[in-house]
Amino acid sequence: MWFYIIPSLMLGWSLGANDAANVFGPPVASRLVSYWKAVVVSAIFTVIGAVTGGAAGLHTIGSLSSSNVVESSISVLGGAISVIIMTILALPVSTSQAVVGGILGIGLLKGSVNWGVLWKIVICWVTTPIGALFFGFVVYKITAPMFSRIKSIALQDKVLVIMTWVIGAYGAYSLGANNVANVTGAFVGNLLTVQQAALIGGLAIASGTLTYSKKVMMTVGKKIIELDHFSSLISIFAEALTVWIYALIGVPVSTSQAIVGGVLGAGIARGTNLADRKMLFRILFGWIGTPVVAGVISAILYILI
Amino acid sequence: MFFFGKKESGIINNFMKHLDAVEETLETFREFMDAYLDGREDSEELALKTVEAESKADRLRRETETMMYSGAFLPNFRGDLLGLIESVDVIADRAETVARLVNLQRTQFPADIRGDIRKQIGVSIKTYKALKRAIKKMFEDVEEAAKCIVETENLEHQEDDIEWELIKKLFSLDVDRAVKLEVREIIGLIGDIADLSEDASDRVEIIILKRRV
Repeated sequence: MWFYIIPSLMLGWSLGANDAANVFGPPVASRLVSYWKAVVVSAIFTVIGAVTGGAAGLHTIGSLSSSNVVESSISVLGGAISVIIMTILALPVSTSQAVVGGILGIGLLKGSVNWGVLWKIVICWVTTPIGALFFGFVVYKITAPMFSRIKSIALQDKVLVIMTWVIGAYGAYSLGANNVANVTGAFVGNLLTVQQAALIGGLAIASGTLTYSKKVMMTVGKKIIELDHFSSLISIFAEALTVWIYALIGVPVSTSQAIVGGVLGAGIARGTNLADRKMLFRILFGWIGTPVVAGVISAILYILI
Repeated sequence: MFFFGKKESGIINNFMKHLDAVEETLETFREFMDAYLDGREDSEELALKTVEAESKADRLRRETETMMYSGAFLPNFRGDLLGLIESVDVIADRAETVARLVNLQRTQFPADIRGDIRKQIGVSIKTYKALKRAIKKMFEDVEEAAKCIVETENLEHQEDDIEWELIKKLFSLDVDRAVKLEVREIIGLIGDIADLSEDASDRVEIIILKRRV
């Protein structure tokens, strides 16, 4: 039976390798903190987040469509394959949207989709970047004058380093709490208990962060650090706060879309508009394209198997 | 400065020592020029002392640069500091160049402008001292540093006026054209002390602006 969760472990590993960048990318890319310390802290707090805050999301994904272990495994495999294909094609991809698409693909064939849960998920997706934008803007407006009051450069640096660790740990916690449902949520009720799903999912994400996150961290980090250290930290905080709120509500959302919202919000607050059409396209594609691709793949797999 | 780490404190201490060494070079240069303009015999010795003081500043700069790569301060600030210390160091280089040139060429300063040259040197060194205060304040209080930057700019403008008046006066004198050209070159190099101080203060300003949120 445990064989069926291998796609979940793959997906969790890829999620950890990709999404840790949204938490520690900017400070690692700008060498504010070392890569190894960052990934160890990130891995630890991801597992803590998954185990202590992941239950609500796990329940939501578990109830999106009634399925047996085989169907759940195919759904997650469909999600995982679509993540890999879209990453290779350099298309915007979110694990949250891919997994939901994967589950929907089979759910639609069987006619077992819980539409109420689906609408709740879609609304949360749409409000993720908007919420992070709002938080990025408000938090920046509140904290920037406080930070400006620090007159000494050395003290400013110390505060930035402390903020990096606190916000990074919180971001990793939120990532674990929110995204663990993508990894093992499909098996809740048919193979795993919520606690088992949380621990296995959290460890799978942490393994990806620990073993393969450097490249993405550098790429994503350098893009975000076009903002100054302070603004990029506020963006990460806005992302973490948004994702954490959705963890409480129990809906897995995209950290990549949340960080985009956070960067935009902090950017607008400091008088820089960083939005462009490409960014808007990537977000829209994440909402529509990713679940459609994942749904089609998992439906094909389901028919074939 | 209790909140600095050991590495940071070490670098700041060395940075301050370097600023002092540059000031010492400038002050020795002033003594040399006074002695030279007065026709005193100890001018040669003072020219050598200026060269030695500049070498000391150079050593301190290299030491500080090496320390900076030990991981103190945030990486982007390290680069800024490196650029700043280099830009301060060239001020001492310029004083040394003038001392060497004047001593080697045995430049003949017309008596009518000697007082003005002393005044120009005085304002140039004052400009450097304002820069030094700006850098010291940069570590402690960025707003105070901004005031010192304005002071540096004002002094540089003052030096510029003195420099042009001096050149005008020089060319109105009845002396050999070759002497005029040689002295004009020296006046320009002395003016560089103030110009380079202002350039370095621009760097301090950029460091502060980059940190503004």
